[in-house]
Amino acid sequence: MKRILLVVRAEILKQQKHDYHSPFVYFSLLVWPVLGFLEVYYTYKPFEITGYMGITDRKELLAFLGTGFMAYTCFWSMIQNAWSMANQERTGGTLEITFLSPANRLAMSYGRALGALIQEVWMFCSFCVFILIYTGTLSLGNLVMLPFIFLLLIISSTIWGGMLNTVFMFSRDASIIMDLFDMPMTLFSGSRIPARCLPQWAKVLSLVFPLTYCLNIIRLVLHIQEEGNGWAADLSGLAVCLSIMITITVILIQKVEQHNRENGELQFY
Amino acid sequence: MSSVVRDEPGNQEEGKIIARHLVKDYILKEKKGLFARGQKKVIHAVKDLSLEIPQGKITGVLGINGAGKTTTIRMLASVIAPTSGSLTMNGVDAVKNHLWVKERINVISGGERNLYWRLTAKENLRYFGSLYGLSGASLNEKIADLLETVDLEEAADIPVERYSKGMKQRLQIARGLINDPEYLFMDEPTLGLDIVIAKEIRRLVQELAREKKKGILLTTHYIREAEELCDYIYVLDKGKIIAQGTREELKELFMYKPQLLIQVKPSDDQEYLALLKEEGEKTADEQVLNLLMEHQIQVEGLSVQEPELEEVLMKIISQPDRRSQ
Amino acid sequence: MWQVILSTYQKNRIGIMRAVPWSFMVSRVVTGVTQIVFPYFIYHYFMQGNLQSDFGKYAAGADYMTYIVLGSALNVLAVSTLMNVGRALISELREGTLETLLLSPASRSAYFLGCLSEQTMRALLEFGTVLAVGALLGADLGFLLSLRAAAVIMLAILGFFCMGITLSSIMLYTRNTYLTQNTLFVTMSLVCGITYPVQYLPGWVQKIAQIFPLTPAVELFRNVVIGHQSLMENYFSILQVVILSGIYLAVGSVWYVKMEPRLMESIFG
Repeated sequence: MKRILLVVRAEILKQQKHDYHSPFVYFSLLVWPVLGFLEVYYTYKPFEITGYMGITDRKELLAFLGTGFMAYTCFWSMIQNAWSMANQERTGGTLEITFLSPANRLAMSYGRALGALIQEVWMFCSFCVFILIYTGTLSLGNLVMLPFIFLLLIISSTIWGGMLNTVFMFSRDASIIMDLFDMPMTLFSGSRIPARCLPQWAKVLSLVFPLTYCLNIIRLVLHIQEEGNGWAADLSGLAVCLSIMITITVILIQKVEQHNRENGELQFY
Repeated sequence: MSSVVRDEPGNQEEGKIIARHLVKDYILKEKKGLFARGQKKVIHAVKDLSLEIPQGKITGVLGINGAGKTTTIRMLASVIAPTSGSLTMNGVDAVKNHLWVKERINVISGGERNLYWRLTAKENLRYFGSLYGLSGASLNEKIADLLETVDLEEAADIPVERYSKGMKQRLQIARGLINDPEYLFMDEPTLGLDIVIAKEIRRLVQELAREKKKGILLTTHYIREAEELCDYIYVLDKGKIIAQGTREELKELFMYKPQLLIQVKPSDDQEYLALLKEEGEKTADEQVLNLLMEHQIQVEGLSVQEPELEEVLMKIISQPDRRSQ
Repeated sequence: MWQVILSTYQKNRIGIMRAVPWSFMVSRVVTGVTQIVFPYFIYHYFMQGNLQSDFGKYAAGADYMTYIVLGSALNVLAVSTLMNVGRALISELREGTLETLLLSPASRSAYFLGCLSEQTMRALLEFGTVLAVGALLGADLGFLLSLRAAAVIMLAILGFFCMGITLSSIMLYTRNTYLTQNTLFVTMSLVCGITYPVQYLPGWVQKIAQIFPLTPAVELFRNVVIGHQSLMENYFSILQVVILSGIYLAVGSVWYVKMEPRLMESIFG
């Protein structure tokens, strides 16, 4: 256990040192999301707000999008990170070197995800928290909820990210996978449109993403949306979703190792 | 990790990595067109390889590019699994227990990859050390020690991207020593380095084997390097061992007369041209020189040519009795 | 001149056919499709067709989906052309083939025209895919099959091409593609009136939007395809695209000529 924690800590520290002051991070995780947030906000401009789904004015819409983007960015940064890690570590030859060590592979995968998360999303999350304070969603009264929200986001996106890290180890040109994960998550998970107003088939799809449950819980806690299925339903849904992801990760990681031992694939770039 | 079942370790298997009849085939899927089904193509990278790596000795694998050196090293280091054949380390089945093996070995390859360029030497070593379960004061001590060994103390806190080639190579060696491995695999560690640095690295390799008693496998395509360093040498060509032996045993093979190249001023003197044609090709160097002096022919340049590895390989292939069994 | 255009065309063609840059193409189409599906969801499921009256005013009575689809498709065409032309030289630099090009007396403009003609088919394919998805979602695109619409598309490609020349110099100058291109594209889709009329944006942003050829091109495109207007009625937008093209072409070329000696030094020095 001590060794596992050691590996996780090493991955976090490495990530921090590695991305320190890299303009890539500031642009891709602060500037672009802020511009993207504004674009979505303006996309709503041509519409009359009717109070449907519990959103009665522009401020409430802003709060809705603020929470949506905050959670979405955590999950999206995991996709982006898995992609750039797979790329960099493969071309740098370090991916294989880490597999040369006997270190716990799961710890490496989750450590990488957690490291990226801590390092990368705080900037945009601060922006979103600012939006939520501006809209009056966050006040002194419910500020205690904030640590809980972050804990929820950190745990779920790390598990999601760990899975993506192993998926991306399989492929050399993984940017198509990146799009395939990103597009349905953007549309169906409720980050930009309430998932509950979508047609049935889309609702079913939304259940695949842990982001959906996280957002339901966060918005419930902050009283942004009408009561959905309630706490318990979403929390247990999330638990099921995350345990499936952990299972997939464990299986995939064994496959990666096996595959690499047969073909030496991690070495090529 | 310690629950490894030993298959009756015989004394002769202690302190050694033993490979018997290793074969590695890669299956390449060739894509033809976008929707066409890929065709499978088998590449025989290593065919029937048997060798031993004893501790405290340097074992050399000599071969030209594409001979199968890298595949061999990756297989012996348990990075990739052999298609068939057996591999044991200290008597333990290394194919089944590859994680156990990974605790006790490390790989160092030539070139500038395999390090995090944005991290400093210390940060790199700290990260890789953690992967082997090292931490705290003992890790710090180890890092300081290694940086001293490879003489990078002064550059310890500078990001690797600002290092020269030689510094990166030395850091790679430190990285390869972080888990204090019993066996060390070095894939062309002096590739592309200048003479002084290459020499320094050779000294280090020797020290590791003689003093630290590590079992070292070294691949190279420099005959001189293999001769200078290795206690036992395998010559690899097209995935097969075509010759093997100690330095002394292979001496004849590597013993070559350096060829003397003499460049003379162009001349129309038919007489000496004829002379050279008649005798020059076979005569000893001093006779040729005397001949030139006699005829007062101006020598414009002298150079000694050493044989290329390719030539030695040709020599082995042309002598069937030399081939290993 | 023709020789260079043709050989550049052939060289690029061969390279593309060997390794089709699927990831870029898929990524752009996915972005384009997301850009129309998302407003479609808002329009049909969330806001249930409740448009504000000012949208009708700004969009000259256009049908919402047609408005969105035309904007997004043209945006994809812009992004594709900008990327293909803009990245041409820096890709040669990265592959180490730029030096042979620099040493040759080949005309640089012929080189770029070769790149342009090679990429136009691919860009139009992506453009067409987004339009096709748009038609499925209910956009009225009948008038696209007119000479006028074709002329507008050609004019738009000219504008994007000229901007691509400047982009190419920026990329060579900063030695960076990912940050430059994405920052540009995120900004363009925010300010150029792709999924909402520019009039919703603050005044100063609207002014900034005018420096992108995409802004007048999109307006022109919609006026012609939705409003069936003649080209003469839109002479101002046409003029704007032409002037912007001239400026970008000049800036890009002059900058490049100034940079070429420095490039030579960095490669051969």
